[in-house]
Amino acid sequence: MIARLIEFSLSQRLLVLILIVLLAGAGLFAARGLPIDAFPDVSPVQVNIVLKAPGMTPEEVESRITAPIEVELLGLPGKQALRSTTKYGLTSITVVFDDSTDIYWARNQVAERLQGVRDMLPPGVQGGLAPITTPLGEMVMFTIEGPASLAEKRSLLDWVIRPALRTVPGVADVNSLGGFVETFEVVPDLVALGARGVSLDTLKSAIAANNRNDGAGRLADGEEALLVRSEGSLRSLDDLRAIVIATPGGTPVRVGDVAQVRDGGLTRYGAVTRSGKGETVEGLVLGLRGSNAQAVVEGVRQRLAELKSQLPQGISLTVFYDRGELVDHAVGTVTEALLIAVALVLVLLILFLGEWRAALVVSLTLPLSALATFLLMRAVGLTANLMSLGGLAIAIGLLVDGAVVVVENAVERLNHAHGRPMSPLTVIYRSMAEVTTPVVAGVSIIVVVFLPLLSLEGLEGKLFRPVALAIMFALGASLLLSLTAVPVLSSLILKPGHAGEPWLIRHAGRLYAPLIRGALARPVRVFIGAGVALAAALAVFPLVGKTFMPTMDEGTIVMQTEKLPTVSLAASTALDTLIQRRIMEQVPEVAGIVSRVGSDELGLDPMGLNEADNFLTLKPQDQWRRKDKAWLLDQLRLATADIPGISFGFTQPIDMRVQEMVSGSRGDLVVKIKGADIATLNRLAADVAAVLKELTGSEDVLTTLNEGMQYLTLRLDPLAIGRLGLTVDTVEEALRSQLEGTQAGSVVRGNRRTPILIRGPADLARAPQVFANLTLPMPDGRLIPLSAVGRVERVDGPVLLSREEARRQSVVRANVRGRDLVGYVADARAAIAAKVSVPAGYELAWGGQFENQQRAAARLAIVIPCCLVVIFVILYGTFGTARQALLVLGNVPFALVGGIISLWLSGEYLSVPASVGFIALLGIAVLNGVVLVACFNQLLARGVPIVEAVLQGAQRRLRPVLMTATIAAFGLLPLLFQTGPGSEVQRPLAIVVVGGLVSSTVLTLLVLPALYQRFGLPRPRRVTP
Amino acid sequence: MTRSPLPRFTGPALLAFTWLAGAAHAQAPQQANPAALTLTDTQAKAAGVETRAPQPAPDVASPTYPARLDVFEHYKTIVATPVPGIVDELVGEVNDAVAKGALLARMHSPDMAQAQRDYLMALDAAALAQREAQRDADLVAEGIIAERRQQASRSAAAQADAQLQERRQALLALGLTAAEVETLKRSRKVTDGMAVRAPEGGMILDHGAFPGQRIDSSVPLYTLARLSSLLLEVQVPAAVAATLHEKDKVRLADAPEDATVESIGHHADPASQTVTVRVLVDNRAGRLRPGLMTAASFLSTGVGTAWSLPHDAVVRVAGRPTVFIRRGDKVEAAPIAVLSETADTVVVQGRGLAADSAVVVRGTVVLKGMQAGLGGQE
Repeated sequence: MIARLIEFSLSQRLLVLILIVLLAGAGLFAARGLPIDAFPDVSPVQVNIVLKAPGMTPEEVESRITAPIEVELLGLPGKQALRSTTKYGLTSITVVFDDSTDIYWARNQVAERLQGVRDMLPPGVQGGLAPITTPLGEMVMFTIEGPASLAEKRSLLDWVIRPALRTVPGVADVNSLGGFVETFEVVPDLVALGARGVSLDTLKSAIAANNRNDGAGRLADGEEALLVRSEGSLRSLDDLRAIVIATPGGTPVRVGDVAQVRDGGLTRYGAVTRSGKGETVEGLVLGLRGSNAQAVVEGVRQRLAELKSQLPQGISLTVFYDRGELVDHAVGTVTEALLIAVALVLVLLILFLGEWRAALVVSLTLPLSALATFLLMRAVGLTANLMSLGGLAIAIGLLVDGAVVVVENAVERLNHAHGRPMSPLTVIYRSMAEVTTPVVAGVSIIVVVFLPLLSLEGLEGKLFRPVALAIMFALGASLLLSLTAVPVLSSLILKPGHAGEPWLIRHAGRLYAPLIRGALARPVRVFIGAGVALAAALAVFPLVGKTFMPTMDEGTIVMQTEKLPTVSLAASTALDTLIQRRIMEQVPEVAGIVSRVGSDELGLDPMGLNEADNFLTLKPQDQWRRKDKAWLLDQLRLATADIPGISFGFTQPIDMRVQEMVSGSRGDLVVKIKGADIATLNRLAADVAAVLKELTGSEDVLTTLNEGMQYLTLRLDPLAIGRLGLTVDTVEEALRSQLEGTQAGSVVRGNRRTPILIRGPADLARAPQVFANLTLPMPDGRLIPLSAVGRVERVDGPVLLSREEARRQSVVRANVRGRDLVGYVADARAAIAAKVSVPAGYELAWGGQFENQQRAAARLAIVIPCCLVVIFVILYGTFGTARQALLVLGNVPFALVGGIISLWLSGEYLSVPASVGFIALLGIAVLNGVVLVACFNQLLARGVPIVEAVLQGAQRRLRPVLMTATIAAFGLLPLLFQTGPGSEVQRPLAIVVVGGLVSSTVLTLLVLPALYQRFGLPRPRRVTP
Repeated sequence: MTRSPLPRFTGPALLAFTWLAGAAHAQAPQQANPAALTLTDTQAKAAGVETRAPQPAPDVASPTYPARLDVFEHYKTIVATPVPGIVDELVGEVNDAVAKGALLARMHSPDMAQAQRDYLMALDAAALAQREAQRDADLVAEGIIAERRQQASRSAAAQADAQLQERRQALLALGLTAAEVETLKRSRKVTDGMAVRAPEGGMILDHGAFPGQRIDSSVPLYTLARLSSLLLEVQVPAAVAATLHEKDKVRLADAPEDATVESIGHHADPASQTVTVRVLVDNRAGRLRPGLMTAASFLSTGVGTAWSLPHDAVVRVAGRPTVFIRRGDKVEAAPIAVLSETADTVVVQGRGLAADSAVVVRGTVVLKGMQAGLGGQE
């Protein structure tokens, strides 16, 4: 079939040329429309429910809201995990589905179940499904600067900027943080209310009932009609003050008589401070799941520029995090590497092939394969990101293999055939017949070699499947082109030329000849040498650290801080400002810091008042004192070391979210303790944290202090309440209206809704003692002191309640530095098993990044052997004998030797990218082996005696083997020396492949011929020298 | 030279003793400050920890309780008519300040005419009896009549005189002045007009009748009150009432006037379970008005040295109120007792507090964080 394909192409050359042009066009078109992002979308299919119950304590929220909903959701089809975090006034429930689930269907299912439970939830609970975004969807973050109050800035964000940005295609929502949400505040004077015999209830219903516009109907006015409208809605504070509540004894009592009416704000659950200058307001643009990040960022930038004119005088928007920059940078880095690689390959081609025509033909396959790859990526729905473009970069060196073999053979044939009366077309056709099998076998082997990557699951699967797919598409395209376009182009462009070989090959041949002769003469020495190399590699292997993924340098540092759980918002922001000032003084590389403490409006990242994320924007690297990220992190740690009573941790934006998403918490190692009693969970968590802190390599060991939140509990006495003629509801309603405030309608002006809040005086919220002596006004106007209805006590309670699969848990997380992850986890397990006693009913679960590594290792351990079997089958098909297939396969370990040693020498860890490198190395080694053995077999078939066959064959195939190896290696050289974002991921791969190619080529050229000579044929035909 | 032989075990005993003492001494500092933290100046500056010396607090105020000002009943006077009559004119206006004896209202009453007539009749009768007694005295002197008759007429004259005095008092009681009685005596004109006068000085608070109205002595024609002292009724939870004493000083929420506890109620209001404490407020400045609702707190003195600190300085450690005191590089947690608390200041008592203690007033949350084990990274 392949032969017929070649025949067809060579006979229909014009058609093929037209097809090539069409391919190029389609590829360009696809490339233009390819969605671009820095990181592939590694988020699982998940649905988030966020519910707010202002003023309710964590345990209340857990028992009345979280638990009922979780019970409903436990039975969802396709559900993989159910996690929830419950904090003061808020709960966030996350359902993770299988990757094959459709997100909209999943949301529908969850929404249905939620609807069914709504009635059971306490009144006043707001919220529902979170917007369709992923944890990686934070695209643009900006703050609002200028001489306006926090309430005004927040109002601007909520009512002007947010609606405008939401119209940008691809934007899921805009999250608001910080500032004050404006309210109209009514602060009743309880004494005055009591004196007039008016209750808070009456006040509230009076306000709620006196705030409406309505249409009354129509009047006939002669022949025309008049529409009647009654206006009674509130529009200002004065309107509020003038409402009459009651008329005891004939005198009207107005709101303004019994209460202070003023501008106020909703109780804040979070705040934002900036660069030591105090509070500001932050907006965060969330991208829709599956959208094109580049396009979204562009759209947002445009819209923000348009908005400038609508903002009031002096107000400006400062963007402090822009995903687009990272995208540009990362993609730019890879593109640069690609271009350099192409240039290097071209140079090498010319050097090896000796004439520019052959180089031209071969080099044409590069852009064509790339364009075909883009076309296929677009068709399958892959985005262009670090990983897929990186895959393309890896493949560059391999893309030309097939073409090289075809062209090289064609050139040989043409050069040796110019005397005979054969048309170039025929020559090429004949030469194709020779090389088709090895080319098809070789390229398909490399394609097969990458198949295991497609079987990876979870996070590593989402990261490396694009790599594998990109490589496979590229190689597949190059194979097809090698069999169709390359012969056609060769026939058109190549001319039979001189019979001489290029300078490089001549020298290489001259160097090689004595070496191969010596090897064939003393095979034992060669075998021993190879054995020693193998032993060395095996000795070195345990010394190489193992980890999951090197972290990409995103250019932005995020510092996470944790303070005392009971800290107030004011104290928290004051401390944040102090920390910001200190860092900016001591580390001049930091251009600005934006700290967000507490929770955001949408509740997507519900941190407590004591948890803050500080985004550090850094100056360009050329302004640093030392251009070393690790050094900068050390400087930051030094600067914060002297701040007592606060824990610090350092991470990066995307990394933070990815970690969080993977196991629900952020850290290299996450230990989850599951059980029922909070106190016991806390104790276990503290014990585990203490043990971890002592291990070498531990860094940023954090456990959320799940106690120490202070509660002022009012234990209501039902007898006392009943005696006074009240109910628990009345008392609690009155209490809540004093602190948190109760809403009594809202004032609508234009498209702005400002809530009306009835609340106690600010003093009340500042002194617990004043609060304990509060007198509550009852519906009949009496003033009841709080002590008459119950006892006020201070009690400690939990800060947050974390649940997984509807069971409570506490979490300890740690980052690892200076040693490999797997070894650290092993130590940790041993230490914790020895020192921490876990009572019955409680269990420990291990998660974090290392679980990805374990999963990946387990999967690969199965798939790679299968892959080897498939390769064996292909080889068997090629050679017809198992012996030779095994011979080629047996060459593989020697090929890996160089990779391991170079990994050890460079100090990099064995990570998934390095493993990908080994896989590529495997493919190239096998390909070279096939090329050699095929040639040997051909010569043998012609009757050449084995020693001669091996010698000649090796020398004949020196050029293609060298070319494959050097081009592959040089194609990866740019990745070796890169420094931009993403280079940390590509570099181990490049190191493995380049180092491995050195050893692999040497071994292929020396050891394989010797082995073939010794073991390549069944016994009777073996000839010993 | 003789040496007094010491028992042989002295040496080892001394050694053992010093060793034990040393060990005990080494342990003692740990027990004294189990929770001492180390805080260098750099750390304090970095975390914004500030200290201040505590201020002596002369008195300690309790929390405030709702209170209502009222007229002190001893200073209240109800002015009524002694006899039924009809009101002619109201002279006193509400809110007037009147002195004792000032004219408040004019009335007319038949009882007045009757009393005047009775007086005049008594006057005539007394004059007659007097002349009789005189004639009898003359006759006795001439020996014409028996002394017994003179005694009888003298006693009759005394009776008539007494009756005259009684009638005269009745007229005075009806509001006539002595001058007016004389005028009546001379003019012998009976009228029925009455003048109602203020029995005590004070402020007219209210009047209870209108001109032309027929009233009797049960109608409060005018309500007068002296407002130089007011009664403050404070509703206090029963448990708190037990701690109060008479003569305790009371501070009003928004007025500088002096006030002292007059008496403490014996029964509690079943509806709100509070006890009414009666407090006398000095209102000579005249700023306070009865009927106002306000709040009051009770001052206690003589509790020992009390210190006033900003509210932010007091924290709870293991449930007990504590302050942090900086001594050089160390920060100690000193337990205290909270005497009173408002939104801005707290009055406390504690053994570790002195006039020169450096009490942490800002940054307590950081110190508590240190105690909780937060800090740094590993």
